[in-house]
Amino acid sequence: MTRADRPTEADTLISLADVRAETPTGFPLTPSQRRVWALAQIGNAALAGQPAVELSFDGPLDTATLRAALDRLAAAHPALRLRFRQYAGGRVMQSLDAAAVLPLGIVDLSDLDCVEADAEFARLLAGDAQFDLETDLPARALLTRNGMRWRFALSVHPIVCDAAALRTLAGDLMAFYAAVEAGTPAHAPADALPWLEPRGSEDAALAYWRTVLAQEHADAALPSVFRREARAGGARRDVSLVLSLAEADAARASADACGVPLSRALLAAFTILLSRYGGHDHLKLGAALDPRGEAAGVLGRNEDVLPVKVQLASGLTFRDAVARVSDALEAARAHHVAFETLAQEFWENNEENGSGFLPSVHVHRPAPPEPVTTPRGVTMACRERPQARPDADLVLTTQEAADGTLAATFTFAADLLDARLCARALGHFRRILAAAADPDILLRDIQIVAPEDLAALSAPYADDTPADPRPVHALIAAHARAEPGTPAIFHGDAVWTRGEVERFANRLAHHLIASGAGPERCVAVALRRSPEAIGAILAVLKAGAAFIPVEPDHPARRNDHILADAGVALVLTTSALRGKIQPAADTLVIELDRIDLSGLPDTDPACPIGDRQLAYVIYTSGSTGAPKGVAVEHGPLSRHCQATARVYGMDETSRELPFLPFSSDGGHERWMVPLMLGGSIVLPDKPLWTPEETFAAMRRHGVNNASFPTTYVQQLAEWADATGDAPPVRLYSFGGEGMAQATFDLFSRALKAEWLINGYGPTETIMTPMVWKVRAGTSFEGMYAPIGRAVGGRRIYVLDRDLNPAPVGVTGELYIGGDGVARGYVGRSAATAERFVPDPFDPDGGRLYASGDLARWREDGAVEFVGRVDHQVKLRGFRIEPGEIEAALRTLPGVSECAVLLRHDTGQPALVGYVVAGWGTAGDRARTDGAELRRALARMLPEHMVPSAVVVLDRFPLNANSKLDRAALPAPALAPLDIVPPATPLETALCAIWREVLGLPAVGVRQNFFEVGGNSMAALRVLGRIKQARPDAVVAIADLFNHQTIRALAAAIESGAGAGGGQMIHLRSTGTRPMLYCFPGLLVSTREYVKLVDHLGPDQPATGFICYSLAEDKSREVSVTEITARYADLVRTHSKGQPCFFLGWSWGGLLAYEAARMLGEDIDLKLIGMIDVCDMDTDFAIGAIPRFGPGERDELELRVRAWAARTPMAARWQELLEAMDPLAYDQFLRFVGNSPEGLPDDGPDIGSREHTFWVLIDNALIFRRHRMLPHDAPIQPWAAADSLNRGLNLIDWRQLSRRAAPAEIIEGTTHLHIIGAPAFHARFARRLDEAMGPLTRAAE
Amino acid sequence: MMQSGGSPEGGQQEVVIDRHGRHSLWPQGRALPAGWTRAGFAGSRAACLDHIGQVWRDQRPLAPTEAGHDPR
Repeated sequence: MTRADRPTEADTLISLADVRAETPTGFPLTPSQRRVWALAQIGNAALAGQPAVELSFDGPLDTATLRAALDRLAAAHPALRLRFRQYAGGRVMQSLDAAAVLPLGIVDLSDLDCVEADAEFARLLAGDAQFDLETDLPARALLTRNGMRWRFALSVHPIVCDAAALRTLAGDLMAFYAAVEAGTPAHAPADALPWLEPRGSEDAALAYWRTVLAQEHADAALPSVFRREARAGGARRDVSLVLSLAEADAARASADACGVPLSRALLAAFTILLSRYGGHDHLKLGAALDPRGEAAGVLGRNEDVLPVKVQLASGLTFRDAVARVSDALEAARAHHVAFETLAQEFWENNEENGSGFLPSVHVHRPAPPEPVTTPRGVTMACRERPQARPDADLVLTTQEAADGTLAATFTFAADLLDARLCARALGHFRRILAAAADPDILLRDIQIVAPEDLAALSAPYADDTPADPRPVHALIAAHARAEPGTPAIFHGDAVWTRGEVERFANRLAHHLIASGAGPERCVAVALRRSPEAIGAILAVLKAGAAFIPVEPDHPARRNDHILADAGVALVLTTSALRGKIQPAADTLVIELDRIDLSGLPDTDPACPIGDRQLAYVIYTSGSTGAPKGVAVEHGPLSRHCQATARVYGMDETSRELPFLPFSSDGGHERWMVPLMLGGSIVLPDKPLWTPEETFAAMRRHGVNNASFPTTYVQQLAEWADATGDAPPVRLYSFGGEGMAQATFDLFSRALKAEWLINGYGPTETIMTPMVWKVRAGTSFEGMYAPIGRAVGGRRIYVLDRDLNPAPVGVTGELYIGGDGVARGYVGRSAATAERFVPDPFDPDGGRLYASGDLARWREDGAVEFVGRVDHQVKLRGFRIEPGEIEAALRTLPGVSECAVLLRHDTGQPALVGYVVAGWGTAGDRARTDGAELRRALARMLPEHMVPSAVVVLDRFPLNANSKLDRAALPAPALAPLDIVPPATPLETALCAIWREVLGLPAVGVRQNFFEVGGNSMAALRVLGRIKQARPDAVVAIADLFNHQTIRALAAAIESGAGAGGGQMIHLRSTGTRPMLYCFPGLLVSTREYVKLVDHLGPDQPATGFICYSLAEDKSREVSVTEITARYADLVRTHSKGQPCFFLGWSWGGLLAYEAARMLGEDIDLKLIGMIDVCDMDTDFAIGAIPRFGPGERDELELRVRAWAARTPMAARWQELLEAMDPLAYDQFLRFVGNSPEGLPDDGPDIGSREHTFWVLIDNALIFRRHRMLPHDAPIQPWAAADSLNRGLNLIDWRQLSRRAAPAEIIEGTTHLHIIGAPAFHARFARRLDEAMGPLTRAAE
Repeated sequence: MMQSGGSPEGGQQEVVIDRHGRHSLWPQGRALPAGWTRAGFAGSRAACLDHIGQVWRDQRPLAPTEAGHDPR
């Protein structure tokens, strides 16, 4: 098959005479040129840039002088005189046309006004940029005249130039103009093209890169904002700033001090920036420059992107960093390999990331040449036409201007990187350069976040109310004295007034003081949540002592540890609970129901309380190691509660339902705050209420604030959603766990609240140091609900390992400081010193608590929780953040809560996912299936992130503080394989065949063929065995794809419902959208489309076809037209005139196109997606004459004959060899000679190398004869970036259809993997939606 | 992987004290944060923590006016 040169309807077969059978001459394209050519081929010429030199002429311009100057320019630079020619099979050669004259178009625009003339100039220039390299020279000039104004531009095709070339051309042209005017004789024409000379072996350089890139490193990049769907748009944006002359000169001085050119210092600053933004020290990024150095330069396409692999460390100086970057760059130049070659060599199937080989690239552009004025008064000046390379996710272009200033521009993939983040990062680049004015500054001392930005980001909720100096219990007591009769606590049917609580607490306080309670001494309160417990806690505080809550129902081990660890001398409990507490022998235990307080005064003991006096000790949940007692002082506690009240907007009308347990500090905040304001609380009378009980209590008591553990919110919201019966509440608050987006949305929708507060707080920073307060209905991006800002006098910092602030959007560790940090861990000063570190931002000296949580600042300054520092796991060398897997799990239907662990008790370390089935009916929940979820994850995540098992639980185990108890999650039961025995003779026979073909010890009739190791080749073998065993069975290969279990297949065969020779495979038979017909490529079945079909969703039906090479009734003498006719008939019958889509991948694209052409108006085809469809390459293209060395052809022929005589598929090879014409036979010999593996003889089984080879050659012979005719089908092509790097012969569909769009390029993928690439899925889905647009409108 | 609480690369640390007698760690060679002074002990992170465990026995505030008085 060849390009549609002069096609005629009658001539679908083509004779040799029709094509160019010349021997190619000249230079082959360089790898960089191949990519430029391929981009143009698929309609993306602009991606290679549209370079042009633009000059302005002031004064008496002489066009003859200009013409002569242009001739000298062409003579001096042979690249401008290259001619290009494409030969059969897509091979392109270039050769020098010694006599070529650069075209100069002169257009007089004098009858237009200035603006119109400029517009016309731009239009003409855009036209000049469109080259047809097979006919045009790669450069042409344009001169327009508008009165006395001349504008000139020399457009140059990017295949022969780079940015440096443009500067050279501009300078030379001005000089030549002056020289011609002065009558200086011209130099002899140059004709050397060293950059096109074949290069030596790259093996040594590639070996170098294999060693270097095998070392641990990360791609330097800014954090990407969106995931998965990220590349749907493909748009690019840019942000710029200009460094003033002073700033630019400082950078130059710094570069001088480091002994490098400015460009190196800028590259180093960029590397430092990306190191800070990515959190990696071992980095790889790209530098675009001429690897041979411009000095060596003969003008051409010399610029290449070189990998710079560098290791930084925060203890290095800027000078050190520059030296390392500079060394890395020198090493890259010394081992230069074309970027395209490196990208192929080091391509990895990184679907998740979807980036190219070097996602971040720096380009430096020196200032343009100076203006020139000739003796006759013509002043020429170069006008800037800066162009950024568009071929990386992020490109930093630094451009020096003639006035000494320096422009820095980020050009970036708009769907992948947030524009605000890029703009800020560019500002940080400027700050790094400013800091580098001292080249000996340590990298860790470079403050990239400006102090004023840090002040804003770290700031708490605005609050300028002065704090009341009184402690919590004194504020509560004041309300009791003011209005003792007001209800304070509702508990079951009981109501305690303020006075009752106060008198009870006062009497008990006197008793405690008499029993030895006092400052800095701890009293354990071992009581269930009750008014008495609150009274007891107040009594402890009034006595000047500190309380320690002990949950009587918690494990005795934990409680024993608490009492012993804190040295508790006094325990308050009841006779009923006494048995649960085992204090040391000398501990005084007070049973509240066995003491008589009636004789004690009910007045406040009025003990003085110091600001830093101990108020309570609360033990951490102890997820790692023994629980530690966190000591909290009165002053910070009281100020925290007062500030919290203001953030919550509470007052004496507040009535709160506090649901959090008393064993957590948050549980105490939620009763202290309302009572401190004179409000009241409704205390649950059981440890747990059903949602119904909760809502009933809230309604009965008119609750207007309610606080719940995050884990309980889920059930509450589900119940409210199901019944629509939530009471109106002013504010809900929740905390304890990250709240997933789906839960938050449900919560926000189902509960009728005005305000929602997500609280966050380690015990070490007192209750709830951070909250995110939003109106119900607020939405957020990201995994978990934001945790907001600080409360009270605190400051929040997201810091890197050097305690430097992380920029917005960059993950770091969360630190909490200021007023509102605990004293420390009781009796563990080393642990205190380790976690409470000096606060480098507090001028008064303070401490920051290192939370161990990963977080990042959002654009609005709110903090987003990312995960635990210590949850990150390493498995088989991969660093995995379980939170990412959890986020993927949460997107699956039926999943409500989930967790992912790395378990070590599963034989070998394995990731295990845990899921609580989501909302919906009991039936929905029962249907949530771990194996199904795991399969869904396998389609979404890279293989190393897919859990080995997903366990579905009724509920999660919770620890003492209502948090998920990860340690208590069960190891997955190694479920015995679901082996259902066969029930019929046919099933028995099929089981035996499966076992044999798949090599399995046992199979069940409900197992899925493709999940137990089956593939299309195995399916064919199964089919063969079935036909041997049951010659009369009506069964076809399609049946094995359509009925994937033995039971289903047996039923189809028994009922005679099998396809019986049919070709169609139902990838998804339901859905209302137009059917998507997927045409198969060579050796492609349809399994390859499963991920795509999954992505397109349940409403998109899809049908595949068995590929011809797998068809049982294939014959030798068949044409593409005949093959296609089968599919076309099926589509015609099946689609019944309804709208449909086609998809063709690889050679399947030819079938899809041909089918569309054959069907014409018979079907309503909305779009054909062409996925990396290549034309026949030089191996077998008609007209591509193979070359042999002396005697080589004869030697190859002997080899082929000897092999063809003895190989297992000898007969079929004979048939094939005989069918070849002389050229095809020579091509085959050449192909054999080029193939490093040698001739295979392991046939004839399907899947053997020999069979695959035979199919390839057979197809080549079929397809090479095919010729495509124009047909205006709606076509959207896609190309894999790797195919462009290889310069594959991608088809230019615009040559065939006027309704074909330019191809979209999918980065980071190859011809084979593009079909599974998420970035491709996203774009394909978008184009289908667009193609459906008119349909949707018609339906309205 | 990141270690919680700063201090990358297992570099040398030193023990520092604030005016309330609270002890902590700081990477050696970096400017001290305001309000903190050197305690005169440096070493690995573990060594510094060991040292602190021995010398900082009472985490209560130094000034009696700040905290309540223990009647014991």
